[in-house]
Amino acid sequence: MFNFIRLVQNENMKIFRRVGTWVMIGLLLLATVVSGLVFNNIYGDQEKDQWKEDLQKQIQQDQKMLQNDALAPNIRKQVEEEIKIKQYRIDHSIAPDKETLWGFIYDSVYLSSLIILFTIIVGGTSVAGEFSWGTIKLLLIRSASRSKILLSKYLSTLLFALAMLGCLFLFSMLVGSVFFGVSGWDSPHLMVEDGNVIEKNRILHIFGMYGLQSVDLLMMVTFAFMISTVFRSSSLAIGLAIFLMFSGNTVVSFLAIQKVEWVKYTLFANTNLSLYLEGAPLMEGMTLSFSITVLAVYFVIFNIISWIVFNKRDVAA
Amino acid sequence: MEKQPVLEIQGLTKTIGQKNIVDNLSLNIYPGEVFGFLGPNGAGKTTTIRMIVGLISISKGNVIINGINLKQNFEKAISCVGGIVENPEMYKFLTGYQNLLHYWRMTRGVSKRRIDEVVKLVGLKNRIHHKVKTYSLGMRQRLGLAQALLHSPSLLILDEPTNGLDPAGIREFRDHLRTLSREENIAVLVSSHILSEMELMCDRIGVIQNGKLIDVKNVREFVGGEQKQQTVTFAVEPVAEAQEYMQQHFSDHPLKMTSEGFQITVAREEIPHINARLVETGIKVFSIQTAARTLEDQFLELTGGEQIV
Ligand SMILES: Nc1ncnc2c1ncn2[C@@H]1O[C@H](COP(=O)(O)OP(=O)(O)O)[C@@H](O)[C@H]1O
Ligand SMILES: [Mg+2]
Repeated sequence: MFNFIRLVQNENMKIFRRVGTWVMIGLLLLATVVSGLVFNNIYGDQEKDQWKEDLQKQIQQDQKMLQNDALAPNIRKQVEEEIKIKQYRIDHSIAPDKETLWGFIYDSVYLSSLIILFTIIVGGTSVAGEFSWGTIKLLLIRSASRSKILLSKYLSTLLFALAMLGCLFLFSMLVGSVFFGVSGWDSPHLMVEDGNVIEKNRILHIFGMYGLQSVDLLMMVTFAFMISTVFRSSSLAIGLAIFLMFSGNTVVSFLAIQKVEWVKYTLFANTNLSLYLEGAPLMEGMTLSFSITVLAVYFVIFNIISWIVFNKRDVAA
Repeated sequence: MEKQPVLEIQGLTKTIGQKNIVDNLSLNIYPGEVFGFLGPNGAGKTTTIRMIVGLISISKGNVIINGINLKQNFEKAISCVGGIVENPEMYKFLTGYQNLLHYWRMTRGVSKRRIDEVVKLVGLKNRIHHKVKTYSLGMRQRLGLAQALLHSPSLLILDEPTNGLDPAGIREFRDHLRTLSREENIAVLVSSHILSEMELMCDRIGVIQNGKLIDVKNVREFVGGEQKQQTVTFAVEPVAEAQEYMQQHFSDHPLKMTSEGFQITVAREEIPHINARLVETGIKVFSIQTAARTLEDQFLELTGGEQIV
């Protein structure tokens, strides 16, 4: 075990001693700042004290909307819940999220696609890099089994992703407090459960949001890791994974609209678990447990392929 | 008492497609000796070494290191092996020290002070905290040697270690190897396609060709003076007369004419006799030079004249 931790330490050293890694962290910070500027432009110049009247107006509009009988049931439910939350804010004097740094932190979660991209690059380089640098020949002639080395590489890639998510959270908090101030930092997150508005811990809610993003992250990184192990080419692994990341969701939603049955067994039809929380699955008959099962199967297959290929491979050239 | 070999290779074979790239190779290497693998490019040296260190699978046969079968317990068997396979490729974005730290973390029960020890041993102290991308090839070679020695292995395997080194670098490297095998009783397996180098570096040499080990000999036997036949070059005057005389009286020996006289391969005892006869005939002998048969001659003889390099 002691030995294994040192292997992970090694992989971490190889990740964080590369200039590229720090460029990625810099880019993430830059992206957060830019997004802070943009959001500040949109929301910043609103009158801070006016929000109660604004909410009152919005509630009236929402109620008008509810009078329309053609409204889809899930949208109707959403609107009803929003009215409840808005009323709760007025009654308890809790400013809307977008007036505070929390709104910015919530909105910054979308920047995790950047983290997926970066982690794909790191994971895609982890094994293939050793081959292209030629260092694989020195790495594998040590008293550590190939399985352990592969696992240490995989884990260090995931640790990198975790560190990046941590950075994103810190950056968004920092940038958020600079642009939006810290007033309302102790306000709760509001949501409707069983028809009642309840107050929830902000941090837990943010962890949940990051957690949902991490499903996509985990799958894409595991995929890139497999391609990199099998083909020993980091550019192929990175390129393919990024291509799939951008095209996959589009193609899948297109096929889902066409009601192509097998689509629900593809990876991308199942990575967006938040659809279930919103009560709108991609296709009829798909459930949360179905998606989790499909994801687990892909996850296991990707990892087994990496493992078998890495263990059996003749390291020549 | 029979010495226990550090490395036993038994019937080692690598088959790719239909072809045996390494064919039924057997050999033992003992502590304190430098064993040379000599063969032309493509002979199968690297392939053999790759099998010994577990980079590629073994098609047939066994590799036993300090009595432990590589196939059965890779982690244990390989723990007493240090090596460089082909070029010593390092992490260029790390410093020399960080590279060594990396490999040190993969060892068990080695004190961290050992890193400084090997750095000193290979003479990299001044530059060890610089990035490897600033190193010359010679320095990388030394760093490669340092990582191979980090865990005080009992078997050191070096594949074409002098490739790309300048003569001074080669000489220095040779001295390192000598010291290591003598003082630390390490068994060294080194491969090369350059004969002159092997001659100076090794105690025993195994000649490998087309994947087969065709001969194993002590270097002294290989180059040795104890051979019966010697090739001698005579410088004489007048040249034409001497050549004619030799052709008449010694044509049953391999005889070659040169611009200053002739070259003949004869038994050692014959040399003074030839000299006496020439002098008797009134021919002036200016010099007699014996050429020790080189490794190259031996090699060409063994491989049936196949081109090396
Ligand atoms: N993966 C492979 N597939 C097919 N042939 C190979 C492979 N690896 C090596 N060879 C062949 O095996 C022979 C021996 O190669 P190698 O061991 O590198 O020779 P050496 O190190 O003695 O120069 C060469 O003829 C080479 O072409
Ligand atoms: Mg070779």
